[in-house]
Amino acid sequence: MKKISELLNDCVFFSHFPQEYLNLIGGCGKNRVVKSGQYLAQEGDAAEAFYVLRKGRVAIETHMQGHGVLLVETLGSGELIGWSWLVEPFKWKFDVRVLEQAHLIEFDGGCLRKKAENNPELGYLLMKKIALVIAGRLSATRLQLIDIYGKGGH
Amino acid sequence: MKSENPLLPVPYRVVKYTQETSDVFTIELVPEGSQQSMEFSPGQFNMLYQFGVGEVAISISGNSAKADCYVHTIRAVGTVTRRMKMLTERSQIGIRGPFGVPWPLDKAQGKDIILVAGGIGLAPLRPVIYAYLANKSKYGRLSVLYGARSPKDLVFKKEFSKWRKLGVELSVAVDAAGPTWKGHVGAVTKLIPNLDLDPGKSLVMVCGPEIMMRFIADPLLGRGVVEKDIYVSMERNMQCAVGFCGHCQYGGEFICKDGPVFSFDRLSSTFLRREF
Ligand SMILES: Cc1cc2nc3c(=O)[nH]c(=O)nc-3n(C[C@H](O)[C@H](O)[C@H](O)COP(=O)(O)OP(=O)(O)OC[C@H]3O[C@@H](n4cnc5c(N)ncnc54)[C@H](O)[C@@H]3O)c2cc1C
Ligand code: FES
Repeated sequence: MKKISELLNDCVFFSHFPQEYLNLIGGCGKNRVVKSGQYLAQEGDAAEAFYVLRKGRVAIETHMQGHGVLLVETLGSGELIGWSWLVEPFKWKFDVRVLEQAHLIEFDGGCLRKKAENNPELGYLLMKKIALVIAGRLSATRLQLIDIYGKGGH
Repeated sequence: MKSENPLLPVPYRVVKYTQETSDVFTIELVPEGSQQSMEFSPGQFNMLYQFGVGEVAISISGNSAKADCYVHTIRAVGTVTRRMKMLTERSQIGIRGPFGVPWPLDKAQGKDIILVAGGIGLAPLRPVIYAYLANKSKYGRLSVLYGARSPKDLVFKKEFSKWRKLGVELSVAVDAAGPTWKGHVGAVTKLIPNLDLDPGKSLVMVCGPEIMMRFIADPLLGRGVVEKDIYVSMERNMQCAVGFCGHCQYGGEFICKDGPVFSFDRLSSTFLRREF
C-alpha cells in the first residue's frame, strides 16, 4: 500500500511541494473512507481536521431557520475540504456531508499547525496554497451571490 | 435565396414553440411563401423582428446541417423578447440574417473542444455540439461545462442524456439547488480545475454573461490555455447588424460584423474596462 506522502504526490493541491515537505505533511495524515450520507463535520464543532478528497463527492451545507438545509457547494476529487483548522477559533463554519462514498486523506490540523510553526518555509507554502483555495472559493461565492444568470444576465 | 437587402426583414412563420424554462422558449421558423436559404454557421445570429414592437439579435441554436428551418432559443427579458414569448405556432415574425463571425470550428479540427456556457449562453453553442457529433472523427474530445442558476433554469435538459451517450463530456454546475439535485453546486468556474485538459491541444469557446466570461478566463489561463485559444461570444445591442450604425461598437470593433465571436487576445485589453 502507498504511503501517505506518496499519495500526496498525486494530489493537485500538493503539486509544487518539495518531497521533504510532503514527507513532513504526510506524517500528519491518514487514509479514511466515509460512506455516503455521513457527516465529516458539523457547524460549530471543533475543527481538528481537514481533508483532501481523493475520490467521491461531498456537500457543504448550512441550516437556515425556516428554510431547512441549504446546499452551498459541492466538492469533488482532488479538492480540499476545510480551512477552519487554520483560523481561530478553530470551529467548523458549515456542515460537510458525504454525497458519494469519499476516499479521503484526513490531516490532523493541530499536528500540521505545529510543524508549520517550527518550519516557517513549509508554513508559508501551505498558507499560500490554502489562501489560493480560499480566494477561489470567495470569488466563486460572489459569482453565485450576484446571480449572474438572473435578471439582466445573458 | 437570401434577401438582396440586408436591412429588409423577410416574413417567417413559427412552426414549433417549446417552453424550455419559465422564461426561456425555443421557436422553429420557416419562410412564408418564397424559397429562402437557411444556411448558417454555428455562432451566427439573426435579427428577429416582432412587427410593431421592435427587433432583437438572437443566435441560431439549431443544427447547421439541417437547413430546413431556423431554430432560436430566447430568454424573455425586455420589451421585444417578452412579446415574443407570447408567439404561438403559426405566428409571423420578420428575420434578417444570418449575420456575424462564427465559432472557429475549422481551427478546432484535430483538437479537443471545450465549451463553457452560462445560462442561455448554451443556445449559441448548441450548434457546435451538433457539428461535433456529426463529424466526430475530425475532432478530439468534446467537454461541455454548463453553469445555470438552478436545476429548473437548465435549457435543453432533454438532450443531456443523449449527448452524454454519444460521448460528450457534460458537467453542469448550478448556483443553488435542493437536496434532490445530484450534480455540482457552485460557480461554473469550479469545473475548470478538475477538467481533463491538454492546453496545447484544446480550443475553448465561451458564451454567457460577460462577468462569467471574465471570471472563466483566469482559471483557464492558469491551466495553461493561451488567450488565442479561447473564443468568446460578445453581446451588445444591435440596430443595423451590418456595420453601418455603430450601435454595437466595442473599442475598435463592431460586434455585429467583426464578432460576435472573438478570440480572447483581441479583447483582453478592453474586457475589464468599464467604459467599454
Ligand atoms: C449577437 C447576439 C446574440 C444574442 N443571442 C441571444 C439568444 O440566443 N437568446 C437570447 O435570449 N438573447 C440573445 N441575445 C440578447 C438579446 O438580443 C437581448 O436580450 C435583447 O436585446 C433583449 O431585447 P428586449 O427588447 O426583449 O429587451 P430590452 O427591453 O432591450 O431590455 C434589455 C435588458 O435591459 C433591461 N431593461 C429593460 N427595460 C429596462 C428599463 N426600463 N430600465 C432598466 N433596464 C431595463 C432588461 O431587463 C434586459 O436585461 C443576443 C444578443 C446578441 C448581441
Ligand atoms: S449594429 Fe449597426 S454597426 Fe453593428
